[in-house]
Amino acid sequence: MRKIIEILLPILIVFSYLKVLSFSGVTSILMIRRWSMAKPLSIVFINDFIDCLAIAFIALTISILLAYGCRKYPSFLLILASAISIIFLASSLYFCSALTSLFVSLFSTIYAASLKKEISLSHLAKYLSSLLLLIEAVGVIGWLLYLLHGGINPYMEPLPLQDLETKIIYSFSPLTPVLATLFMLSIPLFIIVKPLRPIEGSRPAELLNRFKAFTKNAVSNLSRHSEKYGAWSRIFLFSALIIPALATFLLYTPTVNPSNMVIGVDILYYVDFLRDLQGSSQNGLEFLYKVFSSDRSLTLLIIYSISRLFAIDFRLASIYLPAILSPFLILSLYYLTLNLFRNKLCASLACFLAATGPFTTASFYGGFLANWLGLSLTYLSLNIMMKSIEQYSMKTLLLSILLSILSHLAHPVPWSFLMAAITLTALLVTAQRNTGRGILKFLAAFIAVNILYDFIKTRILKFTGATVVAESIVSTELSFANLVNFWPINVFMAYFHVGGAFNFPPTYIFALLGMAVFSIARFLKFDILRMWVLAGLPLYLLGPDYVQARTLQNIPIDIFASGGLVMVLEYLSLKDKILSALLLIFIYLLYLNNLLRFIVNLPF
Amino acid sequence: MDSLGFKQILSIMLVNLIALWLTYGYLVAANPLTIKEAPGKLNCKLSVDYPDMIVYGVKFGISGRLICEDKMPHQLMAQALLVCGDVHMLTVNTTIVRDDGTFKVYLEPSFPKPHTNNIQCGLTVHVISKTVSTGLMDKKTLTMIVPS
Repeated sequence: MRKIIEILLPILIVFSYLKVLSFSGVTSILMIRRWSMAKPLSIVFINDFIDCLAIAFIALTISILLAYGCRKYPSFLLILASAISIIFLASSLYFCSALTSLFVSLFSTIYAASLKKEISLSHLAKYLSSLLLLIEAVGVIGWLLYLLHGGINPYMEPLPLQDLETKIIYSFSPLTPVLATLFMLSIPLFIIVKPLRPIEGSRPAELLNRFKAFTKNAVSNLSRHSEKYGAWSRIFLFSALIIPALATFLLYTPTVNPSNMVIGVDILYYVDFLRDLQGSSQNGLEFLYKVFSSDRSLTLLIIYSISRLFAIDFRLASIYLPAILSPFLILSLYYLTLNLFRNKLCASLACFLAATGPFTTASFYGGFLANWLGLSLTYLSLNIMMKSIEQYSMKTLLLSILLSILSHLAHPVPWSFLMAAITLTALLVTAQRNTGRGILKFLAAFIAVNILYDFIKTRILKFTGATVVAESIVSTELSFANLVNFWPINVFMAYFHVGGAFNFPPTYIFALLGMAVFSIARFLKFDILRMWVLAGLPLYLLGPDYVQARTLQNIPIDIFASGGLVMVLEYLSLKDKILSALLLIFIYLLYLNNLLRFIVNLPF
Repeated sequence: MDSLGFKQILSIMLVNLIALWLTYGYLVAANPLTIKEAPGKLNCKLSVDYPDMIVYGVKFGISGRLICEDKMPHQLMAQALLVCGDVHMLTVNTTIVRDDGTFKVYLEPSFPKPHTNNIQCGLTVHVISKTVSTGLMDKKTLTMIVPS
């Protein structure tokens, strides 16, 4: 009987939630064939009456089984609520019926699992995650069938198979702006709540101390457990390397892109710029001079070199460039995260979240080739700089500076973020007087050489570069009017900008948890990443939608998310090993669905 | 019980204010239809010159011009979408709007050949600012000749 309740409860929770969503008329913004459109999140399985009847019947069954096991008045109250749900149904009040069933499911869970211990919470979690995993798997199958079907009508609704998964995820989309903002504000928030320490010996103080102790212990154990999920690490890393490269080619197949349109808004600018440059240059030297006077010279040079090397035009070289850029970013992110956590699963997870999450989807939509390359070089540079501090090696620091200059040449924005993060870290190190002066020397040398390079490029040679771009953004784009209208701008950014690529709540949930982990386990390495987020805060609060989006794009949010996710996995593995395996499969399918949903709907 | 200090009172006030502000954000996000699709709507007019007739398999160009009352915004793009008959038959191309507001988009109807001699097509031109539609659009119905 316990088992029946444990199996029925997750079904009731999920399906009554879906029907409540359906009847409440909740709308979300979905990108379907490149157009962002408002769609009601309604789901009908057979018809509204039968759907609600099935849910009410499950609610009644659970209530009776609970009352049979424990003859206390709350159990009979649950039977009464289930009966009311059926009465609502008979009166055609479908919304009230589904809502009552949802209440029954939630109250039954609290009552049976937490208060009466009638059912096991871990078993319930196992069945609930299995059900969600099944929905995710059906979603992936739906997209694969959609891709293999061929000759699809581009304005057709998504097939019901993936509809269920899509609508569950989008029902949480109002949380995206709130969670992303909370993540960006987390460092000032930690400072604000610091005086509100719970009273020693109280329950909240005990819980907080336990959480802190668990986090510190888990972070210090991460390096020892590096091989714990060896197979999983390989799967996540391999998928992160392969999937975006495959997606690049998938974008130009006749099934996904029947009109063979160029995907990636900025790609046209790169192509146009290079064509103009080639047409207006008398010789190779002049061409090179003009390329280096731009702010994305390395990216332009790579597109030019590839097109010359393979005798293809700039357009073709640019549209397939993500197949090279994405694995490069993944490798640099992998080594940076591995250096931070000394844990292969954490590093692989960060890569997978970046490869299938908002970063990659936004980059595909926008064709942010230079940003892709710039961020990869920035991550590499930061990783080597951390190593130079550890090894106290000036030679390694030189390599790191060289890579940061290359990132400056690739794109000015990631370089500016890195500089701001390192400068803030240097200030933090100065404020914490117990930290060694050697670290400060390395940080100062790194900043000084980079600033000198930018000064020569922008002020002496009068080329465009990071500080010129930053100056122009600060003077023309940031304003207090944007702060006053923050939410409409931010919500617009989440729902509409780059096709709503940033509208994916799981990343921000895990990133928030990761930020808590980074703040509790205080290491210099973690502080650099925290300062990176802090550097983005003024842009996020005072900027228009595209500046907010670029901020989210250029902070290592996936490293934070993987840190948070690994903490959840560590916690679950202590309770139940199967649960942690289920979570890993769930994450894999959830993110894969996100990428497939976006890629399939990217072209007209 | 310990009394609350200034720091704690300030902290409680700030936490409450931020919580209220985030709740307001959630309410804005929960009502997506209240968000304007293009916050900085352009004060511009779009005029497009269409060909009188188009021929299947033959490349053609559409030229157009944006006339703005204020300064011409940078980084605008014109996107042309040609849909003939059912939606299987479509072609899209995008071009950059020049600083003087002019643009020219070329399209080549190279989708699967229709079985009729002529077919009605809808040609839509959208002006896009970076990654977001500006709301500026123009549309015309054309006849496409299908050579035998």
